[in-house]
Amino acid sequence: MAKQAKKPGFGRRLFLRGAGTAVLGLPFLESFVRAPRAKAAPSDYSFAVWCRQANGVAQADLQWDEARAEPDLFWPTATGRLTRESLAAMSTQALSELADHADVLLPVAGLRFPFPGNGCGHSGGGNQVLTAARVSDTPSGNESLSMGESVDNRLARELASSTTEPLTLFTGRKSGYLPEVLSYRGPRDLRAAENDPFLVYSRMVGMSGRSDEEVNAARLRQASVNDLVREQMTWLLSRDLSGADRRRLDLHFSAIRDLEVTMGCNLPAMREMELDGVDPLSEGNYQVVTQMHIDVIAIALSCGYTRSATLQMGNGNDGTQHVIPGVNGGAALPRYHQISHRIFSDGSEGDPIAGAHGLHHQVDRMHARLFKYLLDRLAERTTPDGDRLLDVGTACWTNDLGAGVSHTYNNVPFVFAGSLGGNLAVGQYVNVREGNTYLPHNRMFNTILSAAGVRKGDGSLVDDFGDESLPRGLLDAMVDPSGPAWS
Amino acid sequence: MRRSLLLTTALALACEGSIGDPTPYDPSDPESCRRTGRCESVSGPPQTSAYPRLSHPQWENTVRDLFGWDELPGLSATFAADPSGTTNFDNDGTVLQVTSNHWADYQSAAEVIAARVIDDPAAKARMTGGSSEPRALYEAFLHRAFRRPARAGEVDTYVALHEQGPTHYPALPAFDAGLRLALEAILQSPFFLYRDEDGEVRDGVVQLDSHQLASRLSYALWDTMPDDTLFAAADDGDLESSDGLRAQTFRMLDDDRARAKVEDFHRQLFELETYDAITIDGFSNDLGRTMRLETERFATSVILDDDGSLQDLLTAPYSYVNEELAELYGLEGVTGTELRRVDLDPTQRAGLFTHPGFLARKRGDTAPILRGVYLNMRVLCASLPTPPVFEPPVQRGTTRRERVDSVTGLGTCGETCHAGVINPIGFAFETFDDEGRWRDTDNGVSVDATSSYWFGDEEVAYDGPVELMGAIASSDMAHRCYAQNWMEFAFGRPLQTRDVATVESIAKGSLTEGWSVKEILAALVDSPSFRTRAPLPEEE
Repeated sequence: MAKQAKKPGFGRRLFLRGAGTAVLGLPFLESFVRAPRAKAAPSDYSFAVWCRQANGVAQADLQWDEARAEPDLFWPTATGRLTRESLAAMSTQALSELADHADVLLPVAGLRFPFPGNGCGHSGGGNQVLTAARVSDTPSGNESLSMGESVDNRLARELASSTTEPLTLFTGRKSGYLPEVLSYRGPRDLRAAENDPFLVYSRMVGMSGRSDEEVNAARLRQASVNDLVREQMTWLLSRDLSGADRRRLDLHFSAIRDLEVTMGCNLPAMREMELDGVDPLSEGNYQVVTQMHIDVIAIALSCGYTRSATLQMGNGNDGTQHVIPGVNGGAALPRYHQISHRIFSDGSEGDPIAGAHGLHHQVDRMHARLFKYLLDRLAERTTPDGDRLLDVGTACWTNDLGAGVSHTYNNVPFVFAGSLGGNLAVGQYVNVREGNTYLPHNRMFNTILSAAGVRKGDGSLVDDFGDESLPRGLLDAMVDPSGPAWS
Repeated sequence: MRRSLLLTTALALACEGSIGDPTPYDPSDPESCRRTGRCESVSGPPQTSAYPRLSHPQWENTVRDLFGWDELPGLSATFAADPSGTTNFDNDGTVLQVTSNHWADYQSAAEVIAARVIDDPAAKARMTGGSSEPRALYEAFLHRAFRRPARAGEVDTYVALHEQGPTHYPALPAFDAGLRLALEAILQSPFFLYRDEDGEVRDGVVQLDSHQLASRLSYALWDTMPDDTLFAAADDGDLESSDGLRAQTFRMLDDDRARAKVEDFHRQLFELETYDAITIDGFSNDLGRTMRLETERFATSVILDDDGSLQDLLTAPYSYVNEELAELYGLEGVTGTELRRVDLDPTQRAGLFTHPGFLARKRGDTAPILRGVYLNMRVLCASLPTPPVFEPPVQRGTTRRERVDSVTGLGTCGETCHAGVINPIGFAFETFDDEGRWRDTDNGVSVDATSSYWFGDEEVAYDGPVELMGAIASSDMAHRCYAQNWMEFAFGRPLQTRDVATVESIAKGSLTEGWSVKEILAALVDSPSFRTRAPLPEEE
């Protein structure tokens, strides 16, 4: 649990909070950035959070070997209405861990990623999971990138909040092989994820707790500096630049923000200290750090800092050795990636891992409990309007593979919780597969974007997210037609 | 995973088209070229950004040197992370941007640094140059901070901001208040955070001016801003001649900042930090770190102290050991924890890949495979597809080589890449156990470390690690790979087809004329790829 060695003289707290400096404060409500397009959201605080687990889930992997398919241990055992009692009774299934929130659950089965990977199944899945876009021809393999914008970026651009950048969080130490995979500003423009919850939190609440006089002085001082920097950026942008350089400098220009009045949005002091003290890179802290990220997400949503967030749990091919109470005698499991391969190897040769399917299921259950931790926080916290977060937004637990052994892109899990202001038909398990055909998952994104209030330029529902070759429209099975977004 | 831009080998073709690599070959496509090794050299200067952002280590080093501090500020550890690029290194400028999180971090750091400078008389003097006259002060300081002479109006702007200082910092003396406010702005300026390589485009080419060249040179060799001598050379136009540029290059390579850069290059390229986790029963907990230090010390010593070549790096039969490492080498008479230079048995050891760190890094039956993959990718820049996933076969055999062969050798599903490309290299190291000690037998059977490997269109047979390393050191592939990696690290960007001619030329000098690594670096910065650039292409 010990932190990494720090540079002499500069503790984290000193740097971030004690040097008379400020970072972007939480917004004064009236000063929200207003997006230019029409909105139909019932709440100014609608949001979507995307939590991603790696390596597929322990479900029937028909792509691997249908004759020896492992039993499904993930989904509810039947489609239709979910209640706390009915879901709890499905105790063999990972989703039973979410029984307390059955009334707001919407697990969606039957979806697939529409495009093949390009030499690396994990990377190709990560490229598509939130984009429904093609995988790059170049680069390829584990370096492949998405050729489109991710849904979290679209939401952050479209929904009013204090920042146009979505929260992009990551649990664990990034491997050099396949680190963050989720969030894209656009084609081949991958956003780095942050793996230290304390740094993210500190950036959000930097001026919180200071007197009005201190905040005003900092605001005036920073405004003087910002004006000068903006002038310089404007001059640079007036130059004859390539498109790529212009986009890069535009991003910088738009990042310069004047300090806004802060609100009292802090975690309890004890929790702040825990965030400050944790080693976010320690493998043993996987669950603790994930919960801390979730606390940061919840406070960011409740204070209007952001309305769009991703939480990537583990590397692209997460090899964490999880420790799960009651499993494997409490000892560390084999590496998760190897469990998903069912052998002691990250490749194709290795000794079998005894009971690997069951271990994979236990890792799924652990992630289900982490997702429940998020839902608990969203149920506790409210928006500034006093609405329960879990009612105005939605959270999704997903994966960048359907199952581990075959690395299939079929039946990738998308488990939603939260109705987005009454616009999603929660409290039920749906399977949208049509016969033997899995549906490309872009229409799910259209549904979420539209339910959150995002509209196309002509004011109509979003029906074209993802690659332009994909069929348009929404997923009717997810829609609650009585919701205000559809009227 | 790295791929070679330059290989034209039967080796690359051996894996091409096999499982996991379905993309067809397209000679005009740079990535296809990198993957397959078949490239069309393209003329013209490389297409690069006009404003590459400083990497976080470069930001640290630059702030340190701007104020003459001995230690790094240590603030970038809390900066927002950058995405991974496509090189083996952490400084791929093509993915470095200023996001809202970066901006907030730069803002906080600028305010911390400004406060620190005001409280540090030596740093303040370094900023002011002893002047109390704001105009002169900022004219000189902006030259260093922006790494070019101040442009018209810039000094006026900062003087005006300086005069606002007392309003914002009323508790400070007026002069200090002005310095602090202006410094906050300077450290947030795009001209500080980016390297300015903008310029007039003539016939698709931007010719870098003296100050842009000086900045490129100092970040290429030192990862930091120019020193006063280099600034003076730029002011005098000395860098515009090949002789002037080379003179500065060799001067800078004698500086400790070059030592740090050379060490960092090999640490990242060869993943030396992974050595830190190595433990062996009966040895201290420092053993892994000592193994890394051994290889880092060896590399910098060969290159900077002995003016050595890539051939020396790969084959030199000496190293730096302490008592614990000496035990692994089977040496006597070395005591204590300090590393010292020793000669090694030249029939057993040759260069940095016969160091215990490399040999103990991967253990067990997969070690030959992982060693083979590592050297293929990191030393030869060979292309290997992603491993396929299928039901594992049963291993058979007495020795490790037999067991590996039984599941990946000829006649198995893995023969395409393993039997022809990966295993031949890994098997040469079977003369070492998993702790890096020499061994003659494996499980009671004499070790078989013979094999052969296709270097380009030539198959070379060898017996054991010394002969293998000699073969690698004599191969065109290794010299191209090393030159390519140095270009990517020094220039902070991936190689392009427009760089192929430069790398080919340097690899030829390294292989056939035995160029020292210093000479390789001098040739890199004295190349057309260094002196010119072209605007980035429009994306599809």
